[in-house]
Amino acid sequence: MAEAMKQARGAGEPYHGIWSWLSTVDHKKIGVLYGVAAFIFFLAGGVEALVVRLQLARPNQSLLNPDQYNAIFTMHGTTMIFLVVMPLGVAFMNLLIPLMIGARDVAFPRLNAFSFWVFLLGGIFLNVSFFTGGNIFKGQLGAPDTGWYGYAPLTESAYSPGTGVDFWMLGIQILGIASLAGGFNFIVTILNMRAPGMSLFRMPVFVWMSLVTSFLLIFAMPVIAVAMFELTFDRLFSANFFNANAGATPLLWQHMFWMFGHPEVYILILPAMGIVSEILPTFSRKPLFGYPFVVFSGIAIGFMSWGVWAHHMFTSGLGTAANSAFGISTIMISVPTGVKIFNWLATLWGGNLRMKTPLYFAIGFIAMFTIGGLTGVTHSAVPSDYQQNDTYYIVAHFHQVLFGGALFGIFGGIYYWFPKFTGKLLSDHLGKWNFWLMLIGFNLTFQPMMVLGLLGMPRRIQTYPSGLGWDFWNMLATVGAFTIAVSVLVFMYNVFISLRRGEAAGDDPWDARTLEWSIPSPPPEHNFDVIPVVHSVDDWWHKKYVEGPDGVPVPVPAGAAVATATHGDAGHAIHMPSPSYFPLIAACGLPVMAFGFIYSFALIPVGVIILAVGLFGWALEPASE
Amino acid sequence: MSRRGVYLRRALVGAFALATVVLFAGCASIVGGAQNTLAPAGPVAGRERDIYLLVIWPAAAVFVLVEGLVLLIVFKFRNRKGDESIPRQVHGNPALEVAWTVAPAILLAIVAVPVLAGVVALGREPHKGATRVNVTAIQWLWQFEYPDYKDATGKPISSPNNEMHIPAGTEIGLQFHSGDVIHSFWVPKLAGKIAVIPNHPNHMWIKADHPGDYSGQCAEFCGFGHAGMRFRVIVQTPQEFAAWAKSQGAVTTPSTASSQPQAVASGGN
Ligand code: HEM
Ligand SMILES: [Cu+2]
Ligand SMILES: [Cu+2]
Repeated sequence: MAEAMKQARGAGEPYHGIWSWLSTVDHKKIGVLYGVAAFIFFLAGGVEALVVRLQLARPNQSLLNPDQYNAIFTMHGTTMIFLVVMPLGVAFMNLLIPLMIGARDVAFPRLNAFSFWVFLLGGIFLNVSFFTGGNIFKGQLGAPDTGWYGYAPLTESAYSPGTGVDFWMLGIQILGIASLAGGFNFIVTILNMRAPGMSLFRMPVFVWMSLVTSFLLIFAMPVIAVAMFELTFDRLFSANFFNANAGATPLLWQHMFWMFGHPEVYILILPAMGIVSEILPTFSRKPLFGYPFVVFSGIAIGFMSWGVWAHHMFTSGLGTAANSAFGISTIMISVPTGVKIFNWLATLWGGNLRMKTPLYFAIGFIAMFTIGGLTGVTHSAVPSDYQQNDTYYIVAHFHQVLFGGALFGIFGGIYYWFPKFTGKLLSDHLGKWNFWLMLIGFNLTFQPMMVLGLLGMPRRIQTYPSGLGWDFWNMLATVGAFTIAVSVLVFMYNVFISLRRGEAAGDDPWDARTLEWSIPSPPPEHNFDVIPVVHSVDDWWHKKYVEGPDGVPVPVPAGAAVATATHGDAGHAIHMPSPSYFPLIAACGLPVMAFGFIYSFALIPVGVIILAVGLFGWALEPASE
Repeated sequence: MSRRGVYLRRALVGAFALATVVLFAGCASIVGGAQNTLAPAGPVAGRERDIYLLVIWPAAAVFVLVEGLVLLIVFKFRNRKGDESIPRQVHGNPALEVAWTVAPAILLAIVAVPVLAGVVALGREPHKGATRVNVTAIQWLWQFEYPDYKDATGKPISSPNNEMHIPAGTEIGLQFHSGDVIHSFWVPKLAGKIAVIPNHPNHMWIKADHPGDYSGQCAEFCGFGHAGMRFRVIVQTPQEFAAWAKSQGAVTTPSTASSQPQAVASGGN
């Protein structure tokens, strides 16, 4: 990919090789960086998952002791949420938003680079914790071990004296800064930088979902930030926000965590819903069915996601009034989700489906995400959740939505847009192996977990006795997990081989509908030689086809379409933001400060100075080369 | 079709056949199960199971509808070789879309009625005459105290750690206290879970239909020993239970003592 991206850059590049990546402010390169970094974290989180599954494959195993098990499942969850699915969504937002709205970059390119470096360093910071628990070669893992939602007071110093939880709270704090900066950047970009004629209701649905996601980010991250600050004060300065021994009610933590946590799950899924809403029309060669319904249901989800958080606390004893209210709101949030499913099916209906890998994944998304939505409804029926809460049934539910949903959508998106950013098509044949292995592995892994939950297996247990009817299902889930691992290997091989000798893609290999397909693959640094003027939804499609009177489109006479997408060399006259190292320097200050909180306060001013140098350099840097 | 395509297809058919066999074999293992939530042994777990089954049927119907449509669409509308035609560009159908927004909303609103009734019925305070048990969870064990049964010194009797004795056919009023972090009390065959939270005393009522030995387990992650924080609920006939209480030193029992005021409870399911 590096090669292809290098070709994409114009002449006059001040930095080369790795330096051009460290200093880049180009949204496409930053998108690639996000994607690659998140994928590496995905491999780490995946290995953690395989280790967990090995430990649970059979009853009474002791491959891992409880300390190791607890660290590994915590890091698995934290990694997959904060370092994989979120940043993969952001990777697509970076790559696509400017191209889809006809802009040359995001509103604040250097802030964008800053977001990425902060995310990367935050992720590394979090994982460094593994090495801080003594001798890692003796299996002493220093990683946090209180679960991804870290319920107080277990996270208080009295019960978690090591530094693991410190790494967790400070790491998430750092990642939150990246998300906040990204959220603001995307909102301003979408609201201010659209090409002429692209009104809000002509934006691709992916851009709409990104906008909703960005708003959720900027409102949700502060909530978790406050919770983490309070925990930080408790742990480092003996405050008593969650210290039950000093009279605190630890339910406060649960409210704050889930007030962030539920919007967070939509932050994870909405970009994937956007991706699917782009893939389906292209491959069925029909417009999205009911664009306004899909958009408004996305907005509705955005609002409603703030009113359901206590469904994670049905068994916390909030009382019948709260449980009834949140039961109803949760039952109702499945309506806008269901609307989307039917609209997607109607998009496919009557189409001429070109069965390529992206469409496989998008249809897989519909089929698997539906299962997750339906299990969600079964635990919105509050008394039934009293049984399901904190069991493998819940584990099944959120993997159905996050893996069967978000990740299937993301893989579809990779197959779909890979040619745009590399100029090479991924192998469709390998792609189908990738898809089927993943689909089978996914179902083998997570559907047995529903049975396990119904059979009374709680989540987060390091081992279990035999004789409860769980053995068989656990073994099945482990086999499934390794099947998924094989599918990921196939994917990696596909990327590797396709980058080297993949079929050349051309500008518009899928005969697609949105603006990014009107420019070369890979796109030039400035994206558009001439900023397009937009006349309708799916503007690029309408440049290629006109709709006949019976609704059947006919191609525009040859030549006309090409004329609108001139690949001239006007690029030389276009002013682009210059590369800068300062975002990276500024970002480096944050983990230094965080280490300071854990090991020695003397490091904190060092971190502050690095941050300040970065920010001042950034502010004083001349605007162009 | 290419040779490789044939292999892919064969591998798929094989995998699905294997999956079917495995599933049938596995189903045999579901029957029974000491923590099976679908085989309740009391009214609370029974109600929870009923509500689950109430929801799972419409959910299954939607599942069959959506997955059926997915399969139908894939077979009906997949591209045939050489067909480069572009289908009619349908942009939407507001009436249809309103229908599939409103129909699920109505279906869900109907489902909500028994759900709310269940919330109220299960979340109520234990009845006055219920046998009371104070449950304390600490890392990583369970303690059970019987405030209605006192020994000669006036202290409530308790059962051995991780072993709760209760009489069958009688309502039990449970009060929960945590000595450290959050735990969760769960006896799948008798009742769904309730969190045991420091400074937030929860309550729950349960009832066991028949004498027996039921298995329970902490359901909220509570640290190193969480997986081993298991306990038993030994349900006895009222006579056996009374005899057991005596053997634990009880001299005052609810029938001998004047009934005490019910402890004030906050929270609850
Ligand atoms: C149809 C819509 C949905 C409904 C009605 C629903 C309902 C619920 C409920 C009631 C819970 C709490 C269960 C418990 O812990 O006892 C839950 C958990 C969860 N849901 Fe959903 N959900 C829906 C969609 C989603 C989506 C779209 C996502 C993310 C992409 C998601 C992610 C999660 C996660 C991550 C958890 C578990 C958090 C944890 O305990 O670690 N859900 N869901
Ligand atoms: Cu939620
Ligand atoms: Cu526990």
